[in-house]
Amino acid sequence: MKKKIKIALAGNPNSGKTTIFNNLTGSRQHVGNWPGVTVEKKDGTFTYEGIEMKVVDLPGIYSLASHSLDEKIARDFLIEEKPDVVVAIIDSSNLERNLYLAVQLLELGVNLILDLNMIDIIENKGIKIDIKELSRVMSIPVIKTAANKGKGIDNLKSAVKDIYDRREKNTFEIDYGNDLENEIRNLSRFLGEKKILSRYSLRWLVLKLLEQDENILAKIKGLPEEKEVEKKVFESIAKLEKHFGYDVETAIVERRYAFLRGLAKECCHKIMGIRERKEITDRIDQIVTNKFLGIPIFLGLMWLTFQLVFTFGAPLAALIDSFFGWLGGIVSLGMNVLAAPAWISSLLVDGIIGGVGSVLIFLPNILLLFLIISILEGSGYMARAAFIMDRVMHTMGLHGKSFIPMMLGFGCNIPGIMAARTLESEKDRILTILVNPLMSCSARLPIYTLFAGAFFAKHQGLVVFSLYFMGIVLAIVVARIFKSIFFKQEVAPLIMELPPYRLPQVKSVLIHMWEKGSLFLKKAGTIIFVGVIFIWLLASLPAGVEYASKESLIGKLGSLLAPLFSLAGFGTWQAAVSLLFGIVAKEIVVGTLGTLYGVEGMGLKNVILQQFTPLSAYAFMAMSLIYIPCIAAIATIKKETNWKWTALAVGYSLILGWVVAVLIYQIGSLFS
Amino acid sequence: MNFLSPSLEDYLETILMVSLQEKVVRVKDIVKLLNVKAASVIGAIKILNEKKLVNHEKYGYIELTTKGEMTAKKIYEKHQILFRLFHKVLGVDVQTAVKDACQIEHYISEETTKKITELVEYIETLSDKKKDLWLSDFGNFLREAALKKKNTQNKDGRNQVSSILTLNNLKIGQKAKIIKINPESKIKKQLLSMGVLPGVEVTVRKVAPLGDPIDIILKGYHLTLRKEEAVCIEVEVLE
Ligand SMILES: Nc1nc2c(ncn2[C@@H]2O[C@H](COP(=O)(O)OP(=O)(O)O)[C@@H](O)[C@H]2O)c(=O)[nH]1
Ligand SMILES: [Mg+2]
Repeated sequence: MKKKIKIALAGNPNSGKTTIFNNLTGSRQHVGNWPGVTVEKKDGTFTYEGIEMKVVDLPGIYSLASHSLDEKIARDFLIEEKPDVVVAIIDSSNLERNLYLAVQLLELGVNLILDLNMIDIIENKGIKIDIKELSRVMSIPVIKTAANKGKGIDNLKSAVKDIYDRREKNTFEIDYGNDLENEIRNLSRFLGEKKILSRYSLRWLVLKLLEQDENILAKIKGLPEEKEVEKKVFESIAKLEKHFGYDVETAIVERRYAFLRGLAKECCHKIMGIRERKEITDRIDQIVTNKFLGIPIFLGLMWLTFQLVFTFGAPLAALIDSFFGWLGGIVSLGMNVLAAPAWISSLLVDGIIGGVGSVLIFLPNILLLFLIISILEGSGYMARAAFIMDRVMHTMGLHGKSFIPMMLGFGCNIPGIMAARTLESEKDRILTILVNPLMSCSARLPIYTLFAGAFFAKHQGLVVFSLYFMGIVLAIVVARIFKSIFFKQEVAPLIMELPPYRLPQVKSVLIHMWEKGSLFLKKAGTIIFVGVIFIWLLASLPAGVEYASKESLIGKLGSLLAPLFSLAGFGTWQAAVSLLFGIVAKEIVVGTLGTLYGVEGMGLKNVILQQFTPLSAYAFMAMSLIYIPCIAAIATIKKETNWKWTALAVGYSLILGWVVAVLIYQIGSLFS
Repeated sequence: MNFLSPSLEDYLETILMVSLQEKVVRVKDIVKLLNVKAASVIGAIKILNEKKLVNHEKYGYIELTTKGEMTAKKIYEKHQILFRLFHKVLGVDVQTAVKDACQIEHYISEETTKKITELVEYIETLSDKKKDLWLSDFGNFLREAALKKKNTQNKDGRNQVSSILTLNNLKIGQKAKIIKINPESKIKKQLLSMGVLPGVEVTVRKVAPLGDPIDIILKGYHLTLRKEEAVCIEVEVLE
């Protein structure tokens, strides 16, 4: 059997893990979930000198203390899956804090390589890191990379192969000082003899017990020796705390950092002061997070994002539109030539091509949106956005970090809802998830583009922006109401690094963009496809009716619901039906209208102009924004929470959507 | 009137405490706990017996009467609430708090006890966050008061007041050294792993446009946290 080396990439957030991962694997990567949870897991493969290697990009973490889900995932993976080699990705411009994680990895007993990434940044400043010394003191291989330029990646590959071939047991240990070492020795002897939790490295286990690591304490619970272990550990802790005058956990962390401070001093020829290192970052921040400019800049960037998506997306969308028009023409011509039954021709042209075309047309917009989002993330601006917006999110009863899921929600609520996993407190997570569908996702864009384009061509950007804005305002109100009903407690803390500004790597941005774009396509390709076919069926049954006529099943259903919407100004059965099928996925609304009116593209626009007024069009867009998250979002909410919250998410949005649409129409009618 | 001297009250209280832990109460238990002579204990028990607060057969066990138990419990409750006030709220160290509670419990009125109980209970019902804020506020108030005092007595210069604050009270540009992180704080682990440790220097760099959170620099990087979280970090101002 051919051997396969399993590699894990570990490091602080923003240390360049994903960039290195992309450099290693190129396009040979797969995005999925960590088992049992919905935190994104990326793995990929590459071959080096004929050996196949499998890489996993672990979540960005600062320690292995397991106080957050990310840390727990990383730790469980390292302990349970036992990767052959772990690469600690270090941001060289912040050696000390980055090495803290590396030291913990070593204590865990993994086979470690130290990768000093971002070496370009510090070498530009004329600072040299003594790799030999670092390697000697920590007794592990050390290499340098500048991942954004692809430099040093080959060294990394060969280092992985080397360390794998050698398979030496690492012997590195931090000296915690006599008092701690005595207790460590005592406890090690005790645990060693009893063979308690022997799958962990003994020294690491003892340290975690002294640090009162919740996860490990939970593992001790239920063992026959539980009481004995607890007593021993407690005795040690009591003794040490009396001696130190403060808690043991702090003492342990302090000693690790003390060691690292010494090490960093020894290995760096000139340790950078904050002023030298962050020159550019500080200068940018003087403006970007400025007391007066911060918020306008933030809002401006958001506005710019959407303008870019529209102006650059439009010509491409037109191209796709004409392609599907052409394809439909060809197919129906071919069907005529083949003398195929009319219903097959209709299924292909009206159902499949018409429906899928109506969705694909918006792919350019979506790709552009994600392009910008990934630039915001990679550059470090996202963290500033959280810094600027935390006060607001906090008053919503949320966390500055909830801003990111919300922001992602603008692309698609599914990754948005999933990104809520970054929130440590369950309450924050649930609130963030519940209001996330109010963030107007890109699947609503087709609806806005169609209606705003038809009725508000001159102010299209402004009208669409107002809908996004309405979603945000409603989210604030809903979040506050839900918080006061369901969670009266406080929110989770905000403790977050503001990373230095960096130029995002083109390759990483493109990969990210494609990943999210294809996620949308997959959704479009499966759920939407099925949805459109389903509509076509409903529109064609019972057998013999005229396609999509009022007598078809779908027409009857629509007629039944229409009176409900006449209060909002769009009481036609076609509008009702399209909304009904928007539940399958919101992008279907446009496809459905196209199918129902038997037209697409410009033709659809003309029909819409006859069927709606500007006011009812706006009410219709608001309804589309608010009512019921799409099926995929409902499924994701269920996966992240439970049926109770899912039912709430569906129920409140349905009622709210109808109420808002009616209010817009009724109040608007008073003025016109 | 059923007046008891402080020392008799102490005996009564001790009997109650022993009876809560042991099956029976003997003279020698009291001797051991109060560190007095057996003769004095027997003398006191005799008086208490006369007042119908305890039953005591010669050389047998001591037993509280219902009336005795009620009296004892009242004193004990006073002791407890005073201790909570001194130690938990005001931060007096354990030994002093116990000693003072032992003294005052004999003289304090029912009414005052009730008010103190209400105050302590109110403070203890506050959420952790509010309690932290309250205590930090209180601490800062005391420090400022001390500082003012120092300034007025500046000339003799003997009064040493350190400039210890919680991190949320630093001004932009101020540099400080971390003294300690509240060990009870739920965010301690997270702070520690990010290098927020005793002895580390921090500079407050910025406050977000809307007034919260703050941006601090430590160990060569920017960290942002809310003021309500900075409350659990005690620092000493350097410049
Ligand atoms: N100058 C420089 N920038 C880098 C390097 N490696 C990554 N970056 C940039 O740092 C940012 C964060 O990188 P990313 O891979 O997303 O970090 P992760 O959070 O650890 O996955 C991106 O903008 C990268 O382009 C490097 O070696 N040098
Ligand atoms: Mg990453």
